[in-house]
Amino acid sequence: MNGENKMLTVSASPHMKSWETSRVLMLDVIIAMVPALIWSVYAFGFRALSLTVISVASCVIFEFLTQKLLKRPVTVLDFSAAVTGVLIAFNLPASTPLWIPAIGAFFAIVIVKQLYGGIGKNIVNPALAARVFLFIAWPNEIKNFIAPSSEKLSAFSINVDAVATATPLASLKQGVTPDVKIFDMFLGNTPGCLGEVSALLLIIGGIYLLVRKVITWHIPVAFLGTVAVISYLFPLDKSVHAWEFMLMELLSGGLILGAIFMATDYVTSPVTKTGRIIYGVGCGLITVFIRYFGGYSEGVSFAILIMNLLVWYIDQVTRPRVFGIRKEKKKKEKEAA
Amino acid sequence: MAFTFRGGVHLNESKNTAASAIRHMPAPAKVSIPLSQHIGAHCKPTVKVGDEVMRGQVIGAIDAGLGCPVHSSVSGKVKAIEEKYNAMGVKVANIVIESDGLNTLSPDVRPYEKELEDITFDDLIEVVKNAGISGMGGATFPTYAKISSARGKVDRLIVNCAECEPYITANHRLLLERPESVIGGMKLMLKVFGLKQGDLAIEDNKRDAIKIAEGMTAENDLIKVRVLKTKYPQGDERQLIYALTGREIPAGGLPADVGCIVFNAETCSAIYNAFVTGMPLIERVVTVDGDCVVNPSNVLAPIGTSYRDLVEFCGGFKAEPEKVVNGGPMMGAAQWDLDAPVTKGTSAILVFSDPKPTRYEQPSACIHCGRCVGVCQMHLMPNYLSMFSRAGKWDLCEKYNVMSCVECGACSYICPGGVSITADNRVAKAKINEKRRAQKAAQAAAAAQKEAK
Amino acid sequence: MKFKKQLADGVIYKNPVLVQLLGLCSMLAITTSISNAIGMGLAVTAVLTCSNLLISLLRKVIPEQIRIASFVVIISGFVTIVEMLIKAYLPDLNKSLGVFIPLIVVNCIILARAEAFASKNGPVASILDGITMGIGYTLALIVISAIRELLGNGTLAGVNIMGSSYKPMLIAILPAGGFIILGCLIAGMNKLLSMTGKKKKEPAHTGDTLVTEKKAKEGTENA
Repeated sequence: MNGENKMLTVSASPHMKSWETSRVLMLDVIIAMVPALIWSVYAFGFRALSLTVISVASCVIFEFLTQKLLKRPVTVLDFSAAVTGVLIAFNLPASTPLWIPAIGAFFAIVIVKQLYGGIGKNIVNPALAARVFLFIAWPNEIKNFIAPSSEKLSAFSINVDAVATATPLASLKQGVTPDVKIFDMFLGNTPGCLGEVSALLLIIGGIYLLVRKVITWHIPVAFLGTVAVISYLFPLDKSVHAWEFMLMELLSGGLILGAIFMATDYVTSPVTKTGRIIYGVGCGLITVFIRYFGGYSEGVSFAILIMNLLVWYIDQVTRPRVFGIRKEKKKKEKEAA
Repeated sequence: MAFTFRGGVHLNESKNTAASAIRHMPAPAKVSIPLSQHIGAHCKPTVKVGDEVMRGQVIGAIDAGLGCPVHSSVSGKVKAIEEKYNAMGVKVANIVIESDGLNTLSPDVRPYEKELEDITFDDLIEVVKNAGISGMGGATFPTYAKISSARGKVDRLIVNCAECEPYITANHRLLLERPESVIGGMKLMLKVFGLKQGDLAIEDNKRDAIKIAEGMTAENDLIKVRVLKTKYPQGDERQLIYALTGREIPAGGLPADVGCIVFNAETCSAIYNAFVTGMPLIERVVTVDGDCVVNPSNVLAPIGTSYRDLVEFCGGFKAEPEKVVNGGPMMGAAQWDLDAPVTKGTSAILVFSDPKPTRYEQPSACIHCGRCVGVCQMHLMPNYLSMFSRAGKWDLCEKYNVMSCVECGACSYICPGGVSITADNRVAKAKINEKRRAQKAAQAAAAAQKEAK
Repeated sequence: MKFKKQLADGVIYKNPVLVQLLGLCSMLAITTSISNAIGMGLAVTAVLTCSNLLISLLRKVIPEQIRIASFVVIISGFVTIVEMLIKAYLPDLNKSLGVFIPLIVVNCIILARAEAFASKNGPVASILDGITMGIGYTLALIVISAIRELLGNGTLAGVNIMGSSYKPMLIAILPAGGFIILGCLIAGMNKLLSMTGKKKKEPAHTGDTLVTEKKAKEGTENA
């Protein structure tokens, strides 16, 4: 054993690699979403679980099939399809027919992700694009938000009947105080989509992601901060204190889910710290604008989608100052050239 | 309070040999000394096949231009002068000397005639040039040229003992075992440059070395020991100067442009030895590590020793080597020949049984996470540079400042998508340099034509 | 035969909707059912052929500087005729196409073909061009509206195909869905065209092939 006649590997430096891979990061995201998933089962019954399972399975299967058909290497094991699956399910109410997440999965994975080039190349968040697609395509099937109650919906029936309840978000848009207490909204005892109801558990997931350094604080803080500031300064409902209205705005709808899990998606958010803050503020502004003046009651999805389209430009505009190059030293650059 | 810089990445230091004392390797049976171990012109041989040479004798001299003379590290007979590829893939003439085992010292090697306090700037340049000293941190720039071009420009002198690359502990052990040579060298140069204070920069993972250095420099303010936060690549002279002085070397510039001069600790020690004993640069401390080596250790190896002999001196191979790296794992070059020689710039030889991380389970894909942007010490956007480079858009690469990339490898290290950013940047830089050379040549041809008219 | 080439161009290689991407706005608005598509397609074909013929006959007479204005006048003349005919004999079609019939005047296809072909070629060729481009346009419209009607309504040309338990995908008959479906069709068209010989774009270099292995020298020079 003395190295005779053996080929040595000659590869480019560096010869060391950090243990972090995309798979590790995606697993962390899934772990962060588990508390909210458990709550959704507790609040809405096992139908929540069957919707999630169908969504994840469809995403993974569609990614596998598309990559095989397009003769690309199969990358389902990096778990990004699974994350998209969970997020799609989180964005649907429990009374959704079981075939809807599957179609959403097709749209998200095949059209938004794979047709644009696969992981890292999609221009908008696939789960969010799928959510918007589904809400516009089948508005009648997905409008029944139900309240958590002891009567759980069937896990296996394809279609279910449910009593529709107004979500706090819808009430706020009318300028009416919702009947749910703020504490219940924080905990999750409020009507809404599967993953968006429990602010507490989503925030716990977010803290986990921050500690694991999967996300940075810039986007969630900028996003939530902007919404908080504007809703505090200009409350729609004058019958309550401004800070109460602010809290209700923050805790209603998919804002916390969007700010922590969707806006922070790597592929569709800026890479620079300043860029992230601009992006978060932009999302917040558009969210409030749509919630106050727009036709839909939920502005988060559209806000994030619109800002996704601006990310390339935001990155260009917030390029960091290169070490050793200052604006007035432009002629030194020319000399060096 | 530890100094630091923006960017950088925390690595597993793997300083396995930090406690192993430097072992002096006896002359190997054969050495192969390249006639170019530095940036600049190749030396011309001053001996021919069959000549008897002594340890410390000049065997290669500079003909014209920038360069360092080359000396024999053993005594014996010149067996051959042959061309070989060096670590960077350039063909260089090597002088192969068969050692007689006696290590007879050449009579040219004697202490400098003047006292250390009386040495002038010109003395310094002459001695350093004749001793063949070039940057021993890996940059291999001829030291006398660095010193002479900094004449009159410098107000800070910094000795770099950061050693931020994993595995390498050569400077650490040098500072522990022969601190007087490093500190003596510093004092000498401070006096010659006319400076009242110099900085000895050490990363905070070398607590024992810091203590010793502080003890030896406590009596006056001439040398201040500066503790740096351990982070890769703190040892890069740009980040070192920035961390200690807040000054940024302009792009394409040198430390002298901001009034600083930086020496590697071992270079400093070599300069001291060149005056005190007259010994030219013929041996250096090399860290031998990696999971294939039986006894990882620091070795004071003669220049020209083959890697194989070096590893045999450290107990031999305990596993089949898959990858041999000359230098640190982040910026070192992978070698293909175990019989290649140790040169003046070889700070470490690492022998691994695993060729990772060249093969990944998933194909590489940038997920736009921005970690590379956070670790880049030059504050570039490596993810975009890699994207542009792969698409062949060299103009965009240039606009996004790929020429400022120092190829430290921090971005490729941290990338979760496994993108080979450093390699892509190298390709872009090569293409841009090619284009600039072609432009210059075209300009020169056009100017010549104009003159001819 | 020239006609075959022009037909192939009009339907596939230079399809006005799927390759040249002309006339998208009216296409998106009216392709919600096959009957609309056929009606619009035939109307556009009629206008295109007649205007191509007239412009070709007058091409030597119309001054260069005011040619676009002249083209528009000629096209609008024919559009007015077609509109009056549709209003008189096909009132249902008139109701469903609505304002998009007069908007045929500014449909890019007609102006583009007038500028690119009719003003530079003889009348017979121009008639053929009008017909073939019109056929291509109509076929594209039919395909798109078939998909949109099927998905968004469950019917094909008014016949219920998907059954009563099918929950129609409403987005398909909205412009947003039209865009998405159009995008997928254009992608498919590009794929088809690329398979007929266009060069595939290779990246400048891929960083994945970094591993090179050179033979380690045998330790022949032993001490």
